[in-house]
Amino acid sequence: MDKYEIVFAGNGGQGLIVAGILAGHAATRQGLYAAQTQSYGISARGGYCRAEVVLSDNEIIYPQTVAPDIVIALSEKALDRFSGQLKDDARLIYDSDCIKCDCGDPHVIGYGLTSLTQNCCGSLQSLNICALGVLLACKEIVPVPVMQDTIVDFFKGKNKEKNLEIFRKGFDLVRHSN
Amino acid sequence: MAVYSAEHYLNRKRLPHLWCAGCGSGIVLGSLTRAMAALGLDREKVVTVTGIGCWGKADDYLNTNAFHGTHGRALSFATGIKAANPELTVIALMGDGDGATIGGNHLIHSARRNIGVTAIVVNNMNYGMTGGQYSATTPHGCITSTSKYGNPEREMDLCALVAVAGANYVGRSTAYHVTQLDSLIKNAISHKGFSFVEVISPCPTHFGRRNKFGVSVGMMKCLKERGLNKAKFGMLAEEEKDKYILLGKLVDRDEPDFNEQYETIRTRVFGSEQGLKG
Amino acid sequence: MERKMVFMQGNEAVAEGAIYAGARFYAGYPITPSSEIAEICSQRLLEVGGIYMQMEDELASMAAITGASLAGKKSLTATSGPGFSLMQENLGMAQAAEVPCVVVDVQRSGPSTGLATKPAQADIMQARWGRHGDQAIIALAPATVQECFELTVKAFSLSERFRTPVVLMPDEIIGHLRESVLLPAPGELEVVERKRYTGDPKAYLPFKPEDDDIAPMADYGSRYVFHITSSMHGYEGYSQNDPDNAAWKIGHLSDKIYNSLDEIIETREFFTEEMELLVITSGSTVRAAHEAVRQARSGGMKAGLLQLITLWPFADSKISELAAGVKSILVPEMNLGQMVHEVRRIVGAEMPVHSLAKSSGQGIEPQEILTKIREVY
Repeated sequence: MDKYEIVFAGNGGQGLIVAGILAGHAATRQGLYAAQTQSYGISARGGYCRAEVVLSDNEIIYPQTVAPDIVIALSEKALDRFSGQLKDDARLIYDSDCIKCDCGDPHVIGYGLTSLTQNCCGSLQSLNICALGVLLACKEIVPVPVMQDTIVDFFKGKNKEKNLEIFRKGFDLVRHSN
Repeated sequence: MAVYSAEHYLNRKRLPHLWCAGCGSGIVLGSLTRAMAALGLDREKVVTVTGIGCWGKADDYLNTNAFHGTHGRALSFATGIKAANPELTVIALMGDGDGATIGGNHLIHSARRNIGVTAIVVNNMNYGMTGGQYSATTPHGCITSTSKYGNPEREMDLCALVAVAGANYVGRSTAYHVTQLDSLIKNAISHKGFSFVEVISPCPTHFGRRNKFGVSVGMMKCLKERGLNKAKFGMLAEEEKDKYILLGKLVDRDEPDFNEQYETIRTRVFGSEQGLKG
Repeated sequence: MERKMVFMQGNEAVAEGAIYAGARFYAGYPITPSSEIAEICSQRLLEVGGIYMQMEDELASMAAITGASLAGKKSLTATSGPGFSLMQENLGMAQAAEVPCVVVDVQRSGPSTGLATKPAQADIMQARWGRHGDQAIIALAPATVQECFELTVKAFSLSERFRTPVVLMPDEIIGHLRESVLLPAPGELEVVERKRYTGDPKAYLPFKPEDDDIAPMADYGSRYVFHITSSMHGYEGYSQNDPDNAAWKIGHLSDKIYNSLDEIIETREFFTEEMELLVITSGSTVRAAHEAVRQARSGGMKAGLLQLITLWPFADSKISELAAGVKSILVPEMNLGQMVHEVRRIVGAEMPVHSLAKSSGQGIEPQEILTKIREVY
């Protein structure tokens, strides 16, 4: 992998930064170089929030994303920021449960991530793990078991079954739609 | 325990001291060295920490380790020293400007934290070194070089403040009541946790002169007449109390100090062995 | 022991670097974007037998680490601009009394509370000149998470070696950046301990320098009794107002650092062979500048980059050396222009020195630097 840029964008409190951190941990575990940055306002909850991850086989010179390869948008504002701004082969995945989009761009695809997470976990706490499943389905930045191990280790085994289940469901939702 | 005289702790090379005739600081220094002698402290294990001000020069005349720091921060330097090496006896010497005005916040939090430091505040009710301006302990209405028509602000009761903030030991005396002062300082140093002794002390050069107390003798006489023990102070009518000074031991508690609390947590989390993961 | 890559945040690497360097005392006051350093130290110091203290303000924090250092513990504090301003008072005390300690200033945008907590590199001059009176400071700026770890270790070593506080100043981007890092094994990085006096207690002079410009130290509680003062002092550590002594002491505080520049100054070069345009910068801006210079080279422009790892003392001779072969210099920085004035001082009025100053709470992007390179090339 020469360079791969990922953006998780949405609202503060959705766990997007944790999703970015998990992607970075998994990539490092796999022997890749990873860099993760974020931008957010002063409130921990609500408000626009973005986690960026850059992955590469080589040392990363500039650690922030310049032209994302994939954007996972979990809020209307997040979608607005990126739709029409992306390079040709980039993908934009959005949560169709809470965002409406009729742009007709084949690279912009919506999935019902909120309902999937709510039905699977009974809360939206693990929406970020669902987003990671979506990411892996679109681009296997690391082998699936490496990501699964990373998730389990990061939460020190807490909610292990729930996390692995929603990760798998997010992954399958995208894979089976393709 | 080694037996030392009070002179053992005096740095004769730096004497005579710079304090004015009639100043109480020399008297408090005498009490302090007698207390050190009575406790048989090894001067290698004592750190005297001072700030800026007349009483803040006291470290020059002591033979112990010393840290003469910035204005108002003596207790913060002392806190770092004591927390890093709890075996040390750490004594902070501060005036009312240093310890209670610019350093008032550190005084509150040192008491709250119950760090094992002894603070001896010599309260001469004004900034002596800079020319007698009013401080947080200058009584309301008093004349100083920055309140020539009377201090518009109210004074603060330091002992009450430190007591409510959580110090283990609080006492007050004056530069006149030397026997009592010797004993309060000795008990404060040997007491676990934050200990505090306020010494009401004459500043004949500035405070006494401007407020018509006369010079040295007049101020001493005033301290003698107005300093009362708990029993006598308690018999005063409420409206009379303002004119007198309550002396003696005011707080004596046995709460765990900062280092003890910290080690309790460490032991609870990691067991008795430390330094497992370097 | 096999080393492996771990994924770590800049602030976390600072905390771990401090533990690696032997720091066993932290006193601080919480402030974003440095708080992770406090949080990790509160946990790790408990584990390794050290002490974490949360003080009432930054004045007290700086004072406490100064006291703890003299009690024999390697000590640090971490803060950001507003707290760094408050620390100046006792940072000056630690300089005057020659007390080793490390102050981490994770730079955020000011002035005052400013843009809490967006990045900036606007504390560069505060680090150098924030205290009253003449003194010299050592300040280091990491540009990667790896450097956060390594330069924290170096900061402790320099502070112990030169008996002086050292400032480590990552900007917010680097403090919060997470990256893959290769953690050094124990013993792999040099960890310097302060020189301690071992002679006759009666002959101990805590401020009498030896041939290496540095006076040996003792710990409070050892058999060496000593006196420390914020006032002007002589060898024995008591206040002294003699003008000859004052002239010597004030000079000494700078000389001990400026006489050993080779040991202190560290820079890194990228594409500096056959160069016509030299970019000079530090911290996170190095990353953007590196990318910009790489692209400029691809486009046939002979641009190179000098990273200032040591911010203070300024890398005068390295800059003179590289400037000798170029036609112009560009200094991008996340402030209204601080480093650029130092560069101009060094290279003189003949050399065109361009400033790319950005003070908006945002990082400088590679494209902005590349555009400027094209403009001035």
